[in-house]
Amino acid sequence: MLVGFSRRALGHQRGSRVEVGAWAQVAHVPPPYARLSRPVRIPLDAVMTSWHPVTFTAEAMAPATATAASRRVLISGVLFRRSPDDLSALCLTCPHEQCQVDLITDSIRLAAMTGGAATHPLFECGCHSSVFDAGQDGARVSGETPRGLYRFRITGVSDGVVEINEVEEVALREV
Amino acid sequence: MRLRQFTLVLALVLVSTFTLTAQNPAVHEKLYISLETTDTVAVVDLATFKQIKTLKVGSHPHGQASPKSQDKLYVASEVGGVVTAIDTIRDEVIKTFAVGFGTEPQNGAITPDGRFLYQPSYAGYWQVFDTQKEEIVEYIHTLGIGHNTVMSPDGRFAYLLPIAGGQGHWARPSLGLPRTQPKEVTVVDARTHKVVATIPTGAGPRPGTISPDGRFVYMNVDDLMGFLVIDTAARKVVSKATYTLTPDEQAVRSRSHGIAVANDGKEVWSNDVVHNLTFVFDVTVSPPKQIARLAVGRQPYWIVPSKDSKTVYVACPSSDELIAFDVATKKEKGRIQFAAGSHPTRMLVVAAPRTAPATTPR
Repeated sequence: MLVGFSRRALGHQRGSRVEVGAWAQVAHVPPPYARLSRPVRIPLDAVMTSWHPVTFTAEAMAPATATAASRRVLISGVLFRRSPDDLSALCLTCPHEQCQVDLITDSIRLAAMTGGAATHPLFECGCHSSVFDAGQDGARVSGETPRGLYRFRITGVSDGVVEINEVEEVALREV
Repeated sequence: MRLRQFTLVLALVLVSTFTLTAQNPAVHEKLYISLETTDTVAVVDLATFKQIKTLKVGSHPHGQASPKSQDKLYVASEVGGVVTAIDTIRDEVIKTFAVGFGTEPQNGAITPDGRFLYQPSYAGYWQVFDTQKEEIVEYIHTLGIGHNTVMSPDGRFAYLLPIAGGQGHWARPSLGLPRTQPKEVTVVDARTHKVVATIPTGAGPRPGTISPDGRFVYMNVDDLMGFLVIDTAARKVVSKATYTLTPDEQAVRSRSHGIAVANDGKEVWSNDVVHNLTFVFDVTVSPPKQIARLAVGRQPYWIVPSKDSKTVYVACPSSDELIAFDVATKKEKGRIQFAAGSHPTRMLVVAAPRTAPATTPR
């Protein structure tokens, strides 16, 4: 749940087109993940400061479908620290129409986006203004997106390196 | 004498270089751009390429339409379902129409005489709004999500471009009307408001535009990095333009969104959203030939030409920029930075008369 303000209130503030609750994702069912072609490795030092985003590009193979052959995909991602002991790795592609989202950390913009209710950064899509909760693994807050941001899985932190080697399987078809 | 001639030529070159758009003194050429998150429309003077005014409109302004007289502009607002009429001579809001434009009014088009506004709705239909009676006089159901509209230059036909769309679109309220994913353009006789044909496109229609002579509709579609060419007389797709992308670019899914005709109908400019590019094609040949690839701002989403089609404007909502390109040289010649997060998107160039036409009702 968003800290400091309700999703419904935020959706209203942003002129959300539908009741936010109608878009809620099914909770507690872990989505299937797929392996990347090679792991992404990022120095832990780069993400010591909360909300400091480190962007990366991950490579994977999208499986063949009934209408398309298997293909190589490059996925833009971001790694950041959302609390002193919690890292988050998310896909920067908006699930609505594949535009790239931005992490909004500027307090003035956040206040304008939420009517002053935001207590931490949010992701926003520039194309259609969908908003995602950076503090809740990119969960959908408002806008036209049908779901939250696709997630990477952090597969290890050792020797001062964060390793990311999996992404939500559905992302391979959608990004 | 020679020096004087040289100086004159040099002065003319400089003037043509730095004047952003050739201006007809009888009109004031301006660009109106929707700033989605601020519920405003910015007015940009194209002679100086400066923002000269900001107009408050409905919530989340979207598409715009202006009749041949160019003295009015209609702006649809996605949230709240209204259309705002603007006096383009004085740059004032005249009236806000809340006549049941349905779920999320989108990008409409108006007949050249200014009488009928074809206003699409996400609910799956177009409304024909009579601007004199100020009421909806016809509903045209397309089975798709009403999104973009192209009017033929002579006002004879309206081309309705419904979204086939993905999950994000179909989760929206339909008001009970059946919707499928029609991969086709619907052609409407703009005198009778009746459907006269559909044109199969093989993929969901996206933004479209039309050649100055009305012979060809150029249209972005889902899953094509490029655009289709539709022969309006034959009512069929006759060719396809495809962007040349590097292998790494092909590995990143993007979309084509925003298309404009320039250089007196000889070129089509089309955006590649995620790669932050605009492509230019020579459309005097078939299939169209790519002749330029231009780096723009972040996630170009809409694109329009100046009235003389010698300048093209690209809106980049993710970097809040409007960029002007010289068509002849393909070089950038101006850039406006809007407020962070304002998301400039849909826009229209209007050659507003300097004074009100005598016959224009006010």
